[in-house]
Amino acid sequence: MELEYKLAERAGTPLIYLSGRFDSEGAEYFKEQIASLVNAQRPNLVVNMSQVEFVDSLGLAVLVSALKLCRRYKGVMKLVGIQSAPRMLFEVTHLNKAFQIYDDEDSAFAS
Amino acid sequence: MQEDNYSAPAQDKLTLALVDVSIPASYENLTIFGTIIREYCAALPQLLQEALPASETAIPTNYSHLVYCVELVVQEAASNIIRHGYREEAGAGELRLQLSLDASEANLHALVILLEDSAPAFNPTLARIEPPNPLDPRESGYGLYLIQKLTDKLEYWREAGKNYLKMVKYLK
Repeated sequence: MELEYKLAERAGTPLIYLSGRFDSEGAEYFKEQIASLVNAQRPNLVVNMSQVEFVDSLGLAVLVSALKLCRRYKGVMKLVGIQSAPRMLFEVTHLNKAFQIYDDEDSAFAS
Repeated sequence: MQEDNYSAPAQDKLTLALVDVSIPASYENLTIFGTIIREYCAALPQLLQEALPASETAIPTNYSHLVYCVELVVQEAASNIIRHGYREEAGAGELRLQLSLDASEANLHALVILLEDSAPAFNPTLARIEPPNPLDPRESGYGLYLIQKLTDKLEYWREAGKNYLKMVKYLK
């Protein structure tokens, strides 16, 4: 299943719901969307990944690019609800230390 | 002194070849590999139980992670071949995927993934990939790193103009 991208908002912050496979095709689309949000002065983002079943190296790379873009504009990008198998990739690559990762939306918005 | 001829002969250790599929090398076709891997891995616990004596049956405790790893390393290795080997040219060549179950090491059954291509020689086992720096993570180059980290054994050889990449994942 291709990546689906849905933009919502909570407490004035863009909240992005992703589902499906976060690999080459979907990753490019995600990158463009994040760039347009950041360019519209919205560098604080929460990305809900609880419906993402597969992430590959390109998905990781694009998430890192998005994180750096948000930071460049003094923003923060938080990841929420990463499934257990993709989460293993964040651990193996130490990217779990680069991202702010939360189990659920409430804890991401509470911090 | 003659061996005891009355005991049952030691059962030959098994290598079960289960998947052998070739596709024209393209990103679109990689989803075929993904589907095959998921289907094959779904049948694996049952195959293990049927093929091995009960005492030797080892079904990995974290089975969904195993399936994920296999699908991921195949996708990473195959996209590298398409990108760098075949240079994304349509009709440049084929990719062959073979999956087998190897029970030749005692109590250490392994899933053996073999990828074959006819692109120019490239040995991914020689690439030295620095671990990512969490303070300043890089924006590319995670593919080979993941292949190296998520496999238990990685072998490459070239034979008759073809590259062979063998990736082994122990079932544990």
